[in-house]
Amino acid sequence: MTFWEFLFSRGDDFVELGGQHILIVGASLVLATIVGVGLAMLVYRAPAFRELTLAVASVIFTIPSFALLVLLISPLGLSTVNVLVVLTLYGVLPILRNAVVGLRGTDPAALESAKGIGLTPAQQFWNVRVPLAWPVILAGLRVASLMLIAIATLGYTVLGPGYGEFIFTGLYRVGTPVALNLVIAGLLGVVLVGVLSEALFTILRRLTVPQSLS
Amino acid sequence: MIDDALIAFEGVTKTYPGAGRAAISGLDFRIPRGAILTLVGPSGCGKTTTMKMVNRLIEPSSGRISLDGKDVSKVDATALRRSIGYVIQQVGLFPHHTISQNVAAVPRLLGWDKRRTHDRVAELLDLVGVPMSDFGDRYPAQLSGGQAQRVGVARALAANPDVLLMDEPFGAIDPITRVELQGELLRLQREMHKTILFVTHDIDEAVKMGDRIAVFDSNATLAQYDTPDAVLARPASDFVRRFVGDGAALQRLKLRRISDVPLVDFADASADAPRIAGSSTLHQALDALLHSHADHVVVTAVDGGRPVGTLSFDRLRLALREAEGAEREVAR
Ligand SMILES: Nc1ncnc2c1ncn2[C@@H]1O[C@H](COP(=O)(O)OP(=O)(O)O)[C@@H](O)[C@H]1O
Ligand SMILES: [Mg+2]
Repeated sequence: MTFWEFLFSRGDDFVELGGQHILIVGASLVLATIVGVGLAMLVYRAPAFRELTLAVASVIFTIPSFALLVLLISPLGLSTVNVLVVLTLYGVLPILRNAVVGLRGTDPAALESAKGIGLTPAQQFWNVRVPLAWPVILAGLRVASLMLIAIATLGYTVLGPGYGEFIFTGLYRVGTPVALNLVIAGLLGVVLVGVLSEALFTILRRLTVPQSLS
Repeated sequence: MIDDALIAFEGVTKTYPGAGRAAISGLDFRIPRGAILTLVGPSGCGKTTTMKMVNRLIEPSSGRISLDGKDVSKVDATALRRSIGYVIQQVGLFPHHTISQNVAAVPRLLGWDKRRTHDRVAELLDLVGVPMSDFGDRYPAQLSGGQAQRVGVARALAANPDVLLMDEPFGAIDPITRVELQGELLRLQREMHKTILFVTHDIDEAVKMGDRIAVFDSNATLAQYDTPDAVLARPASDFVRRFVGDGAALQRLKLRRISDVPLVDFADASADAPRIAGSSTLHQALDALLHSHADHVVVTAVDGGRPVGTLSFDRLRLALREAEGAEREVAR
């Protein structure tokens, strides 16, 4: 059976796993954004808290994802929630880091004049600081998304959703004719989701970042 | 005497937390309504600090600043800032907003309706020579430094404030454009009659722009507060003398027009004497004199070029002396 024949025969599975993969990554990306950007807003001005938060996020980031999934089996079981938590934790670092850099990097002259012409502190933040930081924040989301798409495949080790199922099933059946096809199908799926993510972020950037800032 | 001061500093001192010495101390001066006060002094002498205390970007450590008789510390800081135009050297336009949106910033904060805001923005952009039809929809990154600062001035003027604070507004602009912008601000001021606090470290610019000059000492005090001519003619201290530098007399010639001084009858004017319009400055007259073989210039009427008199080296010298005498009279 050629790869294409295989893929055609498993077409329904391929689409379903793709849907799952997108959902789990999308959900954890949303959660990681809330946590990462939220934390960044809280700590970007306080050097001590900022460094502490970034350090904690970095430590989490260095734990091998596989180990973290296994570690969370006892509290969360073999479940989608386990994967959701792990992906969220991994997504926080790039999002947090970019958000901090973006919020701190705002053109000081623009902020100074914003204050000087009478914007309230909230207006200075939401009307000037955040929009100017947005391209950098968005770049963090984009990287995080790609990363989570890749890491999500490991989720199958705790019976999570997505293309990991193809890849790991192939792995268990190494030596059989179907093994290679399964792995390649899984990889193709992951790459397609990655391309979709890039496309979405490109469009999002076009729509939300004024040309003058790109 | 109660003069018509719009801004008054009374015993104002500012010491930054943790700083060993005051950034500015014992400030006492007034800015007359409708006048440009230039604040000049070496870098770090406290000019920016002084300016920012007016719109409460910085709070004084002691003393009182009043605007139109009201203590600014009693006014809501945000409302105060919206009522004062603010221009800085780095311009600080909002990079993510178009030129029109930038100029509309304060009217929007004040809740003006769309029509009124649009009309005001169009009027101002025309006034500063960056017309809305060509530039309104562009972004700041698409402007030259000079154009950006023109927009900066338009933004500061948008809600028609009585007071403008300008911190080295033309300091980052090339010399040719700077002279242009200085001239245009003076031209606008002749119609606007704003009260302007104009900070610069350049004594030439201070002399050119100011109705009054406040010279700050390097030890963070006010060294002299006077008219430009008086600062040049009678520096109050060695510091001011050194700061004004060489060429004070030449500078003073720039402050006076030929038509302001008495002329000698032109009957015996020599044929090769250069001609110069009465609207020129004494400085330009001197320049013409130095370029020619004659010992006088023929002054022509502002309109038409008909000769109205002559001006010699001696007369120029006399004019400066008389100006000094007149200043003394006024001072008394
Ligand atoms: N935010 C600040 N915190 C501490 N010191 C400051 C601050 N701003 C200015 N200074 C100090 O106050 C003095 C006057 O500064 P500034 O008003 O900016 O001078 P100028 O505008 O004349 O160059 C300088 O010695 C400067 O280092
Ligand atoms: Mg300064």
